[in-house]
Amino acid sequence: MATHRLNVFPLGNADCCRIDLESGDQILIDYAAMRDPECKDDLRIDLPSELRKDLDSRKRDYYKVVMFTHLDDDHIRGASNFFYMQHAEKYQDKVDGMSRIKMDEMWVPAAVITEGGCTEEDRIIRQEARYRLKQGSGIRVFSRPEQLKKWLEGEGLSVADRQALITDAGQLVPGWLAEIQGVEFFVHSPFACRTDDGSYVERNDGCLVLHATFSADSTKTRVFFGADIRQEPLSEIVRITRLKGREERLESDIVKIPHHSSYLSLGPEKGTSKTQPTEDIAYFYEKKLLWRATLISTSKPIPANDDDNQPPHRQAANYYRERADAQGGTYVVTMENPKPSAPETLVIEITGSKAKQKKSYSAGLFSAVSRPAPRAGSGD
Amino acid sequence: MTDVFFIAPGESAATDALVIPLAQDLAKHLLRQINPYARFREARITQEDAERMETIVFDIDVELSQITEFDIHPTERISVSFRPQNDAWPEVLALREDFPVVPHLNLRPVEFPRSLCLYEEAYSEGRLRWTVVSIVERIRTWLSETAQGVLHKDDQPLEPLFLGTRDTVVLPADIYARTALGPTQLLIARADRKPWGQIYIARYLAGGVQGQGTAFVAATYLCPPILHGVMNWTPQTLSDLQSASIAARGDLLVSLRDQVSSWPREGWLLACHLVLIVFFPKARDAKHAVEALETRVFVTNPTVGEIGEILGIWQLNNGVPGHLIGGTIDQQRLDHIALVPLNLTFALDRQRAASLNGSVPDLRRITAVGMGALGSQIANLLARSGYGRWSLVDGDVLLPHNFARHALVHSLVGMGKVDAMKMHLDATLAEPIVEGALFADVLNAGEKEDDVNRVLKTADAILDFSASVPVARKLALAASAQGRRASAFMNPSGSSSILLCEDSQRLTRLDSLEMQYYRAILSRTELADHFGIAPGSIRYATSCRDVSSTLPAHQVALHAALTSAAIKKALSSEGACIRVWIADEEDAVQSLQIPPEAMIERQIGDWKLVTDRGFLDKLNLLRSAGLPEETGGVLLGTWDLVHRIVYVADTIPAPPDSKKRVTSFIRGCEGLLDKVTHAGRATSGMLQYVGEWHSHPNGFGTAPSGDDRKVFEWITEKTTEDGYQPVMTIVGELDARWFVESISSQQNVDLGAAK
Repeated sequence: MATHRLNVFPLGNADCCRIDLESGDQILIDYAAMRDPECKDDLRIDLPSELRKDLDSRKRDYYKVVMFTHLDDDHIRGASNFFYMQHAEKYQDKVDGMSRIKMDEMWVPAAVITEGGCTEEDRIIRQEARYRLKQGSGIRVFSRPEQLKKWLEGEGLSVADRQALITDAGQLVPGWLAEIQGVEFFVHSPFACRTDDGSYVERNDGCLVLHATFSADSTKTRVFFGADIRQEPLSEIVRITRLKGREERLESDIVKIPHHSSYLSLGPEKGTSKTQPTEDIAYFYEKKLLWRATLISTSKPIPANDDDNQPPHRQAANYYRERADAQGGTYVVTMENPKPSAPETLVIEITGSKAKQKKSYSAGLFSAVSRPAPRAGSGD
Repeated sequence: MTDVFFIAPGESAATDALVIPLAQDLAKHLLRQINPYARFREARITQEDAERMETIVFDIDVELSQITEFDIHPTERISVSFRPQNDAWPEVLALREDFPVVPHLNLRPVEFPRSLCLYEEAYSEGRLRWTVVSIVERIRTWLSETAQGVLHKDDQPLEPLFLGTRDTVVLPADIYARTALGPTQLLIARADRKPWGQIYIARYLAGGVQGQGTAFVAATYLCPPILHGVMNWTPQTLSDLQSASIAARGDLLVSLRDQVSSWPREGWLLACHLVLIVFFPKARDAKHAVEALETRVFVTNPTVGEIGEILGIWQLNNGVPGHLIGGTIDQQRLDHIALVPLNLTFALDRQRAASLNGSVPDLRRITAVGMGALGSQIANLLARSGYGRWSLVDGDVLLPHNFARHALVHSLVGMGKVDAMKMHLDATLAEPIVEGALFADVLNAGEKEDDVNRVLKTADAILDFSASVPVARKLALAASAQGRRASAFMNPSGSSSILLCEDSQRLTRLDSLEMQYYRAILSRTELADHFGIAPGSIRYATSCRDVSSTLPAHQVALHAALTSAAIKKALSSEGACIRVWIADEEDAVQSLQIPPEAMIERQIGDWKLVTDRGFLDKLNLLRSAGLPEETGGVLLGTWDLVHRIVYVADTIPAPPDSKKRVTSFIRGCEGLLDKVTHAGRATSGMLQYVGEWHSHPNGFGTAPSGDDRKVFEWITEKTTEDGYQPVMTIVGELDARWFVESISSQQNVDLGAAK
C-alpha cells in the first residue's frame, strides 16, 4: 500500500508543509521558524528541531526540493539559519553544532530573482536563488522565460542558456509524474499577465501556486497549494484554467487555503458574518471540492470578533467551514488542531483510499515516556 | 446531511447520579476533555426492577480516508452501557440511525441500534489491564478500521452469521457427506450440563430407535452463498429461516419437503424430533469466492410426523400418515415452529486434528515396533495430529511399573501393550487410526513370523521404538519390506534421545546410521558421556538402549515431543538423518545434527562389509597426511554374527611408536589399549577392535605384499582367538582394498575425490 504524507506544521500565521513521498523523497513548501524560544507559552511548533527529528530518523541532511512560494517573512523566516546556502560560506557552517540542511533543488517564482530592495532574510534567499540560476543547477524558476531575460542578460546569460530551469504557468513541473514519482505539480501562478509588465510586482500576486496530483495505488488525490494568493489573481487562475479546459487542475481533495484564511483571498469585502467570494472563487470552492475534502488554514485560531485586522478572519472561516461541511469534509485550522491549547502537526496520509487526516491521540503512559518527567529530588 | 440518532437506553441523568464506578470514570474522563477527539453528551440511567444500567453518550471523531468501504461518518455518536455486576464488556452502541451493517457487530435480538463488538478476548481476561478510558480509543480505532475495511484482517476467519447459544452439539465429522446420501438418523444425548450450557453428543444410529423422546433425526439444507457479515439477526422460527434462504435465492422448505417425503413412514421416525442442519457457504465479499462453510443446527419442537403435516406431505390419522394429494404448506403452523439454535462443533476427525496441529493429514502406513514408554508417547503425539495409519507390534503386557512413564493408564494393567494402545489411539480422534495390532516379539515371533513380515511389508515407514539393537538390526535388514526405517530411543541415563532415519531411497540403512552415530560419540565432545549413567541408578538390563529404571516421566515426554516432531520432519524429507537431543541438568536441550554419510556395502566372501563414505574419507585423509610414508591404524567396528556382517565405523590412527617408512608401516602400540578400551566404553561396547589398516604410497596400488599377508595372518590369529573374523584394509591412491575372513576374499572400494 503506497502512502504519501503531508505534514502541515502549526506555526501561527505562517506556512511550512513537508511532503513525504512513498519513494522516500521529501519536499518542503516554505519554511518559517516562528516559535519564540524565549516565550514558554508559545504554542507554535519548534520547526527546525521538528524537521531535524525527522531527518535524523532518516539519516539524511537534505530535501529533494525546497520551495519558497514568495519572500514574505512568514514563509521564509530563519531559513538562512537552517539551510546550507551555496552562495556564501557564511551560511555553510554548522548551526548549534548541527550540519545545515541541503536543498537539492530550490523552487522559486521569478519575483525572487528579479525583485529589488530586499534587505534581510529575503535577500539571502534571493542571493542563493540568483547564485544557483547563474550556476545553472539546483534551481527551478517559475515564470514566463522572457520575464527573466533582462536579469539573465545582465549576468551575461541568455534565456536559451537557462530555458530548462524555467517553468511557465499552465505547465507540469518537468521530471515529476504522478504515476512514476508519486506526485506531479501543475503550475497556476505566477502567470504572465502579472509578471509580464516588469514593473513592481506585489509579492502575494507573484507567488508560487501549485496544484499537486498524488498517485497511490492508482488512485489520485489532488491538493491545491494556495500560498498567499489574493482574490484577484486567484479568480484569474480559475478563469484561465477553465478557459484552457483544465478543470481537473482545479479539483481538490485538499486545499492549503491562501493567506491564513484572509477574506482578501475570497473577495473584496469581508462581509458581516460570511465573506462572499468572487464568482470564480465560488466556482472553485463550490464545484471543485471533492467528497470529504480537507480545507487547511495555516493560521492562528479563528477569532470570535473582528478586533484584529490581520487574518484569519472569522467571516472567511465561516465560508470555508460551510464549503467543507457541504462536502462532508473538514476545515482545519493548524493552531486549533487537535485543540487550541495544544496544537500538533497536522498529518494527512494519502493512500489508495485518498486522504486521511491522522487523529492519533496519546495521553497517560505514552505521553509520560515521550517527554521529560518533572524535576524530582530533595532540592530546596 | 444532518445525522439522525437513536435515543440511548435509559433516562437522561446528571453525572453525579451515576453509581457504577466504570460509568463514573468514563464520564469524568470525557468531561475533562483530555481526548480532543471525544466529546461528552450525556449520562443516562436505566432502572428496570432490580436491573440497573448506566449509559454514557458521547461523540467521537474518526480517522477516515476519503474513500471508505463502509459508510462510517467523521463524527459518530456512541453510547456505552455498564451494569453493576461488571462481568462482561460494556455494551457499545452506534446511535446513528443509518449506521451500516459492518463486520464485527454483536448479534442482538433487535437489529438497531447496532452493537459494536470491540474485543475478541473474554472480559475476564481483558479486564486485568483494561481501563474504561481506553474504550474511547478502541471505539475510534474500531470505526476507523471498519471504515477502511481492514478491521476484519484478511487472514482472520469469517465471523459467524448467527448469534450462538449456550448449548452445543457435537456432530459427527462426516455429517455433511453422510446426509447427502439420505436421511441421517442421529441419536442426540446430553453429555453434561454446566452453567455455561449443555453439551449434546450426536451419534449415528443404525436402525430403528427404541426409547423415543431422546431421538432426533437430522435433515440438512445447503443454502446458496451468503455475503460475509450481512446477516445480523437470529432466525426465531422456521419461517424466518425460510425467508433467509429465499433471500439467498434458495428454498429451504422445498428441500425439507423432498427429504422428509423420501423418509420411510415408520412410527419411530415420525416420533423423532427434527434437527435442521443448515450449511451456509460464506464469501468475504462479492468479489471473492466462497471461502467458508458455516453450519448451523436448529432443534425444532414438533416431531417429524407433525412437520410432515405442516409441510403438506401427509395427514396424520391417529399418528399414522395418510396419503395426501396436492398438500400445501400450513403457513400459520409454520410461523409457530420455534427454532432453538445450538452451537455446533464437529467431532475431531483426522482432517481437523491435523489442521489444529497446523499440518495436513498424513495417511502413510506406519508400522511401529515397541509400545513402551517412549513409543507409546510418540505414537500418542503423532496420532493427535492425524498422522499415519498405524500397525502396532509389541510382545509385552502392561505391568504396574510401566505407568510411571507410559502413555496409558493403570486401569489397563495386564493388557497387551498393542491392544491397549490400539484402543487408546482409536479413541483419540473421532475415527480409528490403527489398522493392526500384533502381539508379537519381533525377534522371536514364532508362529507370528508371517504376521510380522506382513505388517513390515505393507508399511510405508517402519518406526522402531523397541530400545533394542537386535530389533533395530532385524528391522533394518528385513529384506521383504520396502518402507523407510527409523529408530528413536534414549540413552541409558535418559538425558538424550536419538533419532536415526533412513533416506527415502534406503541407500543408507538404519544399521549404517547406527555405526555413524557411534563414530559421532567418539568424536563429538557433547556426546562424551553419552552412555554414562548416573551413579546409584539401577538398570534392569544392560543393553545400550535400556534406560535406567529411575527416570522422570517428564523426561520421557520431553524426548517423545522432540523425536515425534523430528520423525515427521525426517519422513517428509528425502535425506537420511542422525539427530541427538541432549537435555542438560539445567533443562536446556541441545540439538545435534550429525551429517549422515552414504553407506558402503560389499559382499566379501561369506561376509558383508558395511562401512560408509565418511569413514573412507577419514582413511584417505590420514593416508594423504602421512605421505610419502605409509601409515595405518586399527579398525573399530563390530561383527553381527547373526547376519554375518562386519561393520567398520572408525579408526584409531597410528600410535606414536609406529614405524612409518616409504615402503612399510609397523603399527605401534603406545596408548593403543587405552584408546580401544575407551572407544568400547564410550560406545557401551558397540565399537571394538576388528582389524588393521595401512596405506600404500602413490603408484603402488592396493595389492597385498608379502608383508601384508603376514599382517593379515597375525590379525587372523588374534581375532579368531575370540571367535571373530579378521578384517584388513589397504588404502591406496585410488581405492581401498578390503579383506575379510581370508586374504583371498577381498573387494575394492573407490575412494573418490577426498573431501
